[in-house]
Amino acid sequence: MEFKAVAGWRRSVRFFEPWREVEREKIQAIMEAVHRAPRVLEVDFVRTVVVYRDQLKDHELTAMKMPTTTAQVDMAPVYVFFYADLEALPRAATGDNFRELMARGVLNRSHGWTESFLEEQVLPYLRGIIDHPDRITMRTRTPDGDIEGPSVSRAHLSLARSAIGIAQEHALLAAFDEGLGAQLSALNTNIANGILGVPNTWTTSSPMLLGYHGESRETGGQRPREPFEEDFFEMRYGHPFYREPAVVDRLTAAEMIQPTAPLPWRKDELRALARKFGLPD
Amino acid sequence: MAVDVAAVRSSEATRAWLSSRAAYWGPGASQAGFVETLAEFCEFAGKMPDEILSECLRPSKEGGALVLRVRARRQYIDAIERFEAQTGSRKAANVVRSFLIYNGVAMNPSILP
Amino acid sequence: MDFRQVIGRQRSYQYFEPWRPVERDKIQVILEAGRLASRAVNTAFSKAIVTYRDSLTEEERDALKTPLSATLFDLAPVYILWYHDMDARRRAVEERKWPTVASGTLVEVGALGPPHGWSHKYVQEVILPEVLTPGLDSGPQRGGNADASLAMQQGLLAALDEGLAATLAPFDEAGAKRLLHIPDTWEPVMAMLVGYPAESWEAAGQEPRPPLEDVCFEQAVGRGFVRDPEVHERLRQAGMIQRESPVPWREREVRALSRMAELPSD
Ligand SMILES: Cc1cc2nc3c(=O)[nH]c(=O)nc-3n(C[C@H](O)[C@H](O)[C@H](O)COP(=O)(O)O)c2cc1C
Repeated sequence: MEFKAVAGWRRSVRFFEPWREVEREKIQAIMEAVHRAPRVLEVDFVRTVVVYRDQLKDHELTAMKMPTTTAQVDMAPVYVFFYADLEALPRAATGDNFRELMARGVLNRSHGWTESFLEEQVLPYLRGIIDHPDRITMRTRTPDGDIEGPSVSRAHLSLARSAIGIAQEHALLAAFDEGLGAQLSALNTNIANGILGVPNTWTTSSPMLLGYHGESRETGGQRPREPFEEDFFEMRYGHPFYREPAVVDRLTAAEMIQPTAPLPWRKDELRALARKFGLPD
Repeated sequence: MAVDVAAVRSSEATRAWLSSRAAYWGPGASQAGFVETLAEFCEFAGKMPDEILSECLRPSKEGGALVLRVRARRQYIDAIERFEAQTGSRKAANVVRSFLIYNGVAMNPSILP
Repeated sequence: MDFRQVIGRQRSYQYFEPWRPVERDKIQVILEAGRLASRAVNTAFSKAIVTYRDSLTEEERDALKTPLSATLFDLAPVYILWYHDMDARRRAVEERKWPTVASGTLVEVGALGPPHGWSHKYVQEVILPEVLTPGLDSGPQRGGNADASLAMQQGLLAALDEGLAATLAPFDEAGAKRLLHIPDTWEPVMAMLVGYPAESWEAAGQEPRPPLEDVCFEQAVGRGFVRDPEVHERLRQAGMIQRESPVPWREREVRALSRMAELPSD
């Protein structure tokens, strides 16, 4: 599919066909897209775990539900969990990733990349992030109280979370390119981490629920946003980036920008979906 | 406990439910028989609508804001499931769920096979 | 461009044509794409500010540089600095000005409705006090947010789709703050350096990654996701998987590019 149409048709899908499995080759295509995501500071932060709903026990599924994620969990046949390994940055601070990129002609002398530059500037820069005094202790919540994990600097955590977001972005778009529906949705990751055997040095964000659309591809329209000018600025904060209507028209023609929710028939659809899946209205 | 349908209908929680549900779906969404079904559940649970609700959402210890009571909500989720089994009707049970949902107590039944 | 090719085209592009401005409409496309990314509780955690190499003096440009991005700021004509707005949740909760979960919009537009157990009252009485408000007392918290980079990455892919090269690199927070009047509640994510590539689209070739089965698991950590070679081959044909770095001509290309940009080459 064309990129712009993929971005335009991506919605948070909240109804999936619970009875329809996702072909493993589609999951592989999604995971390969994640694997190609750019690495923040060339660090291999990202880890993913693909989980098949039907291989989980009922009580595990129930325990993973959160106030913001309810029936979706029962409907989606696959969940993809995203993590950043907080030990990846200290490993990268040996310089080996950069040396490999220098050897491959990615990073070159033209931009200052030499062994001494690496040793004298780049690696101290990374150490500065790792050792920054503004720190936070990672915690895992359990019924018996919090378990303390590693202490990391906030700058380090911020990079790790960025890496997760980039990976999530690739996964979401690739899912729609594969003709699937997907949604990032909070699950109880403390419970999930226990079930999946996740080390306490990995930090996470919301997993992606994945499956075939149980609702229309429109999902009632593109979800509304605040005005463009609230988020994007030019030259300085407070001076909005002018939004040219002709560009909006071009993106509309390319299906990236689509009619905003609610489409007039959304509530009829929603009630029909409630009947389809036996949900209340 | 014999439940008076008129009392169920006039309770605050019932009225809040029916009016917000009508506002949400618009005039097309019928509510015929809803109060009677809720009254059946009240009889089944031995509680009136306002009581059910005040068990699930209670003022916090400090007063003021309401707090969702996890255990009470869980008990009603289970009671509605038993009610569904007894009546053999997902539709009837969903009427009760709808009552709780519009009053701020979220819940979902299993997806129908 | 086909989605898989856009994914496959991603590189740490290093060489831009410094003399060639980027059309304004393409920059807008990048921002429009970012705006449409998924975001938790439909709140704008992601912000961006666009600036141009040629609108800054050399000193100002230097103020943005870090060891990992210095020459990139000299070559790329457009810089888009992406931020995480640490105050976004508080504003969504207190102001309810924009269509977020806090303002009830997702329920109203039927994104999350009664079939999922949601109602306006649930938002008011449970989601607001129990999910969205806790923690606000502590004020803005650094430590990043995946949402900010979902938007940034959707923007980056749109840049590639528009025929531009784009690279993410860290920038100097204090320098940017001074030059661009950044609010105190914005935490930096990355600079996106954008321009027309002076190198070929292949650049050095696709950059190395750890083996897939070491970083992607099935059902439990440690059970590596085993690739089906046929699927891999199909993705290669579709352009998502491309020749690995270094391409055989890379050294000569880098020498030529260095001469062209008057950069050191040995
Ligand atoms: C990190 C993250 C977590 C999310 N968690 C939930 C969730 O728990 N429940 C839910 O219904 N949607 C969740 N969403 C989806 C957002 O609500 C959705 O992206 C937003 O409303 C915009 O709608 P769109 O994705 O259709 O464009 C989440 C999104 C992100 C990025």
